[in-house]
Amino acid sequence: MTKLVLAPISRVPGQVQIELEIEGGKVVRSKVAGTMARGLEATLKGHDPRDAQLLTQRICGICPVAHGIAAAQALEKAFGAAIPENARVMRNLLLGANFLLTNIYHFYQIALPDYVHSLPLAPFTPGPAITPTLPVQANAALVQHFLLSLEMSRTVQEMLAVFGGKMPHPSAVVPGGVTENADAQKVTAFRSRLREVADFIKNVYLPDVHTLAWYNPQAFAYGAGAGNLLSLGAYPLKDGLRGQPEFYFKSGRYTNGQPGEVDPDKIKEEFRYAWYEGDSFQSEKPGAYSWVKAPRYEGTAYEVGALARMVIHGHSGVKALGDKAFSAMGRHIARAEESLLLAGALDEWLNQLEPGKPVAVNLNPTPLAQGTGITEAPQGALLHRLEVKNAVIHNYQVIAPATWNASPRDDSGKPGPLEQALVGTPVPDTTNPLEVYRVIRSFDLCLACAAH
Amino acid sequence: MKPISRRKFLELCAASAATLGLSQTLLPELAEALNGVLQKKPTVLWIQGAACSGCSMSLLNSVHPDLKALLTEIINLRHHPQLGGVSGQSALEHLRQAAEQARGKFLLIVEGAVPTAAGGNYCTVGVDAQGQAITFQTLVKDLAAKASLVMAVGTCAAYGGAAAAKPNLTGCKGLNALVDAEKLINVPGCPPHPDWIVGTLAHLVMYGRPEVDDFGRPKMFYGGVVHDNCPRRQYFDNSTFALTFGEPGCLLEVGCKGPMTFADCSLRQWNGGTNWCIRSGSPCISCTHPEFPAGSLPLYGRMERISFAGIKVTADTVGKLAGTATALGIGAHLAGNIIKGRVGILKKGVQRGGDTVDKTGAGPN
Repeated sequence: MTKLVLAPISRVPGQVQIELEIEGGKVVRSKVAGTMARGLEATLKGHDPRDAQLLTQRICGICPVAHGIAAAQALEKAFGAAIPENARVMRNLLLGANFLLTNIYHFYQIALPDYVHSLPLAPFTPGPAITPTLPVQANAALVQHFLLSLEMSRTVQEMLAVFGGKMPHPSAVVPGGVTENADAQKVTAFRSRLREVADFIKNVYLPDVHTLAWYNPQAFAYGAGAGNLLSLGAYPLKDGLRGQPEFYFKSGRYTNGQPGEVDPDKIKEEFRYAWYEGDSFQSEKPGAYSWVKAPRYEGTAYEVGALARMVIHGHSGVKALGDKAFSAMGRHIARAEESLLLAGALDEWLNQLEPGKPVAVNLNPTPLAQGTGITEAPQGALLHRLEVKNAVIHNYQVIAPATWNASPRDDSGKPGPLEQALVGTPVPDTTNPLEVYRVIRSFDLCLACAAH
Repeated sequence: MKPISRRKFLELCAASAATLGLSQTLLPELAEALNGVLQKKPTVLWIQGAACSGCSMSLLNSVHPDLKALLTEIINLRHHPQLGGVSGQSALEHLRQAAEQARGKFLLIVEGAVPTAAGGNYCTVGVDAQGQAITFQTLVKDLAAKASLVMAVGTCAAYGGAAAAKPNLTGCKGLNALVDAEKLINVPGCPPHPDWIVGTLAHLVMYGRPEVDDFGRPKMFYGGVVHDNCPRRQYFDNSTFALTFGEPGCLLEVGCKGPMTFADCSLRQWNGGTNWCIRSGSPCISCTHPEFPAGSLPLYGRMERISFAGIKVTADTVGKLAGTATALGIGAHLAGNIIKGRVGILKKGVQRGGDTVDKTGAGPN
């Protein structure tokens, strides 16, 4: 048996360390550790509840919109505020733009260098040692698109700034709504950039993912994991305002092949193998190996992210993949298909903005309250729980997407989703475990979010 | 032979924003000017600690020069954990080698705060050959000692920022507490504007260390106050205040910290001139401030409820403050509050504001 310790894992945001046991050319056991924690939840305590929304955004500079929206929702639920239609639409536009940004960024900047030779330019080189599977011309085209994706990152961030104020860390989502008004000029500014990005997704990103998949069929054969999926739902639709909210991306679970519903109250964080005792840090705790806790739904570990959303959404292209969707390559296809779907939806939602109508209501904070904010971040399910006492934040809890995906073993010793997905991955060369890196990066992990 | 003088460079950095009113940012001429100046691109090593990656994402938004031009023409960025490179022990070995090869000559860029509690174990960046974890704290100290200069990118790296907010369980510190002031340049912001990062880099490469204020911030970007050129300034002068988000009016009552914030956002704007906080109806939260976020809380509370640790406005300083405040253009509403002692403004900050703008030639005049 060979033991490997992999750290740092370049290109993955935040700090992660992976320990592997390898037997017979395959991973038989893995440990995924988040090795950085900031303790941001504790910094919220004692402050004006309305500060939660901008402060929790600082958890992540890549998906700040999702944190801002989850926190704003938690506050609105706690204090009983119904946001105006324009605010609902604008938040969907902002979140959608953040999804496009992150999905494109993830594929080209984080995942692609495990498959193609990148630019011969520091810091991209020296890069991973790979044996190219793509013909020279296809490889060259993907490197060109890698550069193009940098321009797209900028364009999508501009698009987000149109209604968000700025990006990263947009300012415009506030408890009670948004601050930016809808007018024709801004709609045009958003739409012109959206069309450019949509064109890139349709004609470059999605074809590139399929090209990569075509030349790397073996990447459908590993990285499956247990196949249990969970989505909390995102993008509330107009009709959903009556009674139960209705979401464009529905909430749901997929357990051992069976669909099911989600009750957020059944999500619990376990920490037997994490450096915590309750909410307190325990950096010397014996047996613990990660700053990330282990969220579980009725004791089960669920994978979250685009694959979960597309399976639960019933996306035909992802469904057509069958079991192949649950793989290192399947996750990239789900992300690209989701991007195309969202680009179309954003174009329609843009028409729902009503210039001149209100964008925010005043919040009427009460001294004692609690609320939960649920949405999807690009990387997966996101949950914020807020407890207010004496008019200040008494407790705040964030369960981020990578808290699920990069979680350590739970109280019963069952491994987290990435730990499960790594088992069985072939390691033909222990000095260059390329397939392992491909599995790790097929999850859109953010370790800054995971431990926060 | 330098194609443009330092003075011209500073004018370009600031004037682009001031005259065009939108961010053409570092003008294309600047990128052209840099092209050919450099016989050998200087080595830059970028490391990340207790960070959210927002500063790196902001860097991608640089327009002129864009990231590709920056990497091909201006700097030799030999390490950036998020942009590329190898993984595992060879990544740290590569970083160590790069630092040795350029010992005493490279620029170290740090993103994120440095956790110091529990022996630095709240952030480890890899393992050594013996399998022992290497803390970010150790990495920063090691590399900072070998670097010619250290640049803190973002408020966390500079002063601790969000990562070091109370109760700061991880003992996060900014580089101001770990690196000698002469060796350090701070480019705060949550995140910093890409122009501030790239512009400071360009200045370092072409002319050496830029002139900095008492908090280590380059005066060419942080010399003025957000309030000065605020597009909502007329509302303030007319006492028209927004009380609900989305309303027209000055945002002071809904929490704007523009009058205490040293940054050029109101001229430069964000994301290629698309928008910025105040233009989108959101109050400035003073994210470039050494005491951000604590000094800005409550974010949606009026400034007078803000107090800074250790700052007392005495009768003696009120006169100076009021005088400088006028020079800064802080109007009657705030000046009144300052005289009543209800607004704490960093004493150094206020003394700094009036004259630096002119000295550097980087001001809006």
